Amino acid sequence: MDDVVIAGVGMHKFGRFPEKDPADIAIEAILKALKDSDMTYQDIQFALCGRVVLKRPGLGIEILAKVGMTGIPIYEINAMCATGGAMLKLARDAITSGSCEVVLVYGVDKHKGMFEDLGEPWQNRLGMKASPISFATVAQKYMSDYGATEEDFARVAVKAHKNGAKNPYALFQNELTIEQVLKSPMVAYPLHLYNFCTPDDGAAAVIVCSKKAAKKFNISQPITIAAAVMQTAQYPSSVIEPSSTASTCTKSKAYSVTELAARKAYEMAGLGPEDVNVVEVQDTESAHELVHIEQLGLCKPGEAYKLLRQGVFDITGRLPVNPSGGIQCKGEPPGASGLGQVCEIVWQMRGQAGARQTNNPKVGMCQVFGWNHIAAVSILKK
Amino acid sequence: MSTNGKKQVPLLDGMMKLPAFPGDTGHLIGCKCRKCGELFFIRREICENCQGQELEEIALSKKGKLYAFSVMFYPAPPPYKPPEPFVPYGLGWIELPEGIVLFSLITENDPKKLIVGMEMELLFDKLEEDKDGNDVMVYKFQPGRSG
Repeated sequence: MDDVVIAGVGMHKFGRFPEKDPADIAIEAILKALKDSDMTYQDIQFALCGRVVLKRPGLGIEILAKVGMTGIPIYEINAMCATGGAMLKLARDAITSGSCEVVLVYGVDKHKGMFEDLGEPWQNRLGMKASPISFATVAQKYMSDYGATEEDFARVAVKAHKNGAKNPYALFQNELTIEQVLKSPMVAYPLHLYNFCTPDDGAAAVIVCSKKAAKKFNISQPITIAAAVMQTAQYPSSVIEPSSTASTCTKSKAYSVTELAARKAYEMAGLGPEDVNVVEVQDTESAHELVHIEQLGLCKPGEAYKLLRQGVFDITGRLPVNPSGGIQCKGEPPGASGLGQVCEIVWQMRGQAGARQTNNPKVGMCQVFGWNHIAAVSILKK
Repeated sequence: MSTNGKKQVPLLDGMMKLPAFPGDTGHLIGCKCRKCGELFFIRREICENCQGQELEEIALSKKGKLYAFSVMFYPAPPPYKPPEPFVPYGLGWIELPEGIVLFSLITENDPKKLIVGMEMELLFDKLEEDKDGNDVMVYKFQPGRSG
């Protein structure tokens, strides 16, 4: 089986652009990715569009029609906040199946405020499934199980902002102190306002092709997609993982979707957690950055907050986590955020990350988590 | 049980059996798969575990232990209708002796007074009146009075 590689990436800054049409935001990212791979839209044989919040019917296809009408198959994908990772898996599968050689995946969204309809209608009537609550409950359990504190979660936000301050694509490019995070209003105990990501606007695009096509197009630094996995709940679902689930069984061991996806991804790549040099994880809020590091097997359960204190996850540390600043700094346009991670890891592996460049990573990892037990994990290597 | 001659109705069909006579306490409705024995909260047609379609209704325990919790300090988005003025509200996962964990509103909204593992007890509370003047009832858990 021929390797599948990333030929080019492009991003539109994540932020708030009320005056901009989603098409303008998306097209900027798409054209940048084409330029980055030195391809034209004529070279694309298959395309995927991710959007979660934007409602306009057919928008994903409408946007690509403005880039070029070449008759290719185009599908729209929604896997909640895991959309980007889920599309990368589909693109890889399309190429390994032999049905095409060059695929464009892009995500775009304009998002503000909380989702109004995440739970079942009766749960929403009671205000039970507003997303901060579901994530905060996991954070509380993490504190109770392992002895982490609100200060540890604040430290995650401080680290994120230290990185985000160096990222021109980020919504927030300011540094924060632990005191500022702890003094920001409590949203859902134990998480404060500055622990949370902010819904915003943005787009990201990635061009994926076969290794053979990469040679034909003279791609100078192809990054191999060594694994791409999309995972949904496997009964019994992880008890308190954010979802509409009303109850679950506690008699048998439940695995989080990220754990399940990571296990498959390591096997597919023939690599282990010890081989990973840089990682972007879903940081809907600070606590889940730690939870997801552990679920990926990058350290033992309950250890991430201690390693954070030691600086292991800093840009200069042994295992830099979210060198982009994560969605805590970039904000989260859910259709685009997963591909935003892929852009960052590609830049890191090519040595193009500027002031936030980590130490010559050879293997990178991306993880996204979406509402209702959805995870996507990918492993990229030079 | 009716108050002021009104009827009490559950927020969702298949969720709870409200007290029917003086001294009756009511209970939450669970179901058990006849094929694999898995338990679920709220009546359902299909077993998540084995996809069996024969589930029998059972009464769930009225006491459990707090498994994890949060307190929401801002109103959730609609259709949630916050009280005026808004009061932070508690939520938690309650572990029942049967071996299931279910999500519930909890009456305590001070995180300092909540501890994982503490005893919790079921109660029913009025949410609102429906268009026929009936009391729409919801389930909640409160810290156990026995401590």
